Amino acid sequence: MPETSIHISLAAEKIGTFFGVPITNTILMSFVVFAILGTLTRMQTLIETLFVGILDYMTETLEDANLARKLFPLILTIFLFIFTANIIEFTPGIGSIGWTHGDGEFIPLLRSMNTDMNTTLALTIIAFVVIEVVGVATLGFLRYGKKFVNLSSVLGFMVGIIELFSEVARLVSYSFRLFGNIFAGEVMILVIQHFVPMVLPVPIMLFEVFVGFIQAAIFALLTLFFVKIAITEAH
Amino acid sequence: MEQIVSVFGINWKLILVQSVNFGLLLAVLYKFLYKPVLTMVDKRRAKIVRAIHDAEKAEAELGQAEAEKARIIREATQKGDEIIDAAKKHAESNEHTIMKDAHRKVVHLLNEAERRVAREREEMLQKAEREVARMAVLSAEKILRQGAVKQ
Repeated sequence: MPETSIHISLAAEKIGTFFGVPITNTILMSFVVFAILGTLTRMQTLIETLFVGILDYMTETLEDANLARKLFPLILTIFLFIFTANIIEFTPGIGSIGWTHGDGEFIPLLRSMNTDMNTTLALTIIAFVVIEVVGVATLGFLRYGKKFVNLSSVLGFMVGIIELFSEVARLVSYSFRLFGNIFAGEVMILVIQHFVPMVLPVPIMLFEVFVGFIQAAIFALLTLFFVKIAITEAH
Repeated sequence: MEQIVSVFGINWKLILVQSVNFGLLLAVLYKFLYKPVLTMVDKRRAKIVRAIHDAEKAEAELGQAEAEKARIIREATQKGDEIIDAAKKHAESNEHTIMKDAHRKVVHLLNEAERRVAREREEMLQKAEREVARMAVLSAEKILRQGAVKQ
């Protein structure tokens, strides 16, 4: 294909294999995010106030200081991981440094982490497992199961089935929401860059940084809220 | 379904790698970021709670000390008044005794003086009588002598 067309790939590009595990550019990107977040550990005092605020908010939401304390690392890591990946996606070099394959396909070395379904699915599965585990651990298996299998009445049974579906549907909505938002942003910028390479992409990039923050916050907050729903007994 | 998997490039190995990656990040951040910061926050909170507790205790102690002070001052004032009263009473009784003593002494002295005056008058009278007698004798002698001469 000539260079004039826009090449958009829904799947992340593979840049190598490591012990049989394909290494994609999004995996590389996650290592970069990892390294960036590693430096956060040197700024403990700076983020202390922020932590206290988040922890207080979580305690307020969950109405359980102990559980908030236990979930705090996970929720915050989800947020930081997604947020950091989203704000560095426009760093020059990310997505633009790479090489051209034999068939003319450009393969960037680094690709925005959340534009890969594997990443968002991985995060979703982690969030899903945590929500279910916390629900079972808090309410007990039988009481938690009652939310989904309710044999007390026909209506209750129907509601249980709907609950079960919405629970599983979360896996899809979670991962596709994040993937879709970030991927769409990338595509939009790519298209605009194709037509107006200068100035115009900047406000869009700013907006995408905002979207990146919102999506990270939504992912973390939804995990928090669904945990709250999971630990609340069915009426 | 298969089409979705292939279009989105979904690969369970990649999901696993990302999960492990995330888990590792969680572990690292937990050990080096969340735990130290939360420990620091906990320590600070504990310190604040302790400081508030201490302040409250100090305030209570201060109140107690104030009350104690007031009580001591009141007691001291009361005791001082008592001492002054006692001293006054003592002085009054002493004064009374001294006056009585003085009175007695004065009476005694007066009696003594009176007695002495009486005795002296007695003595004077006796002396005068003796003198008068002697004079009378002398006069009589003189008259007798003159009579004898005339004869």
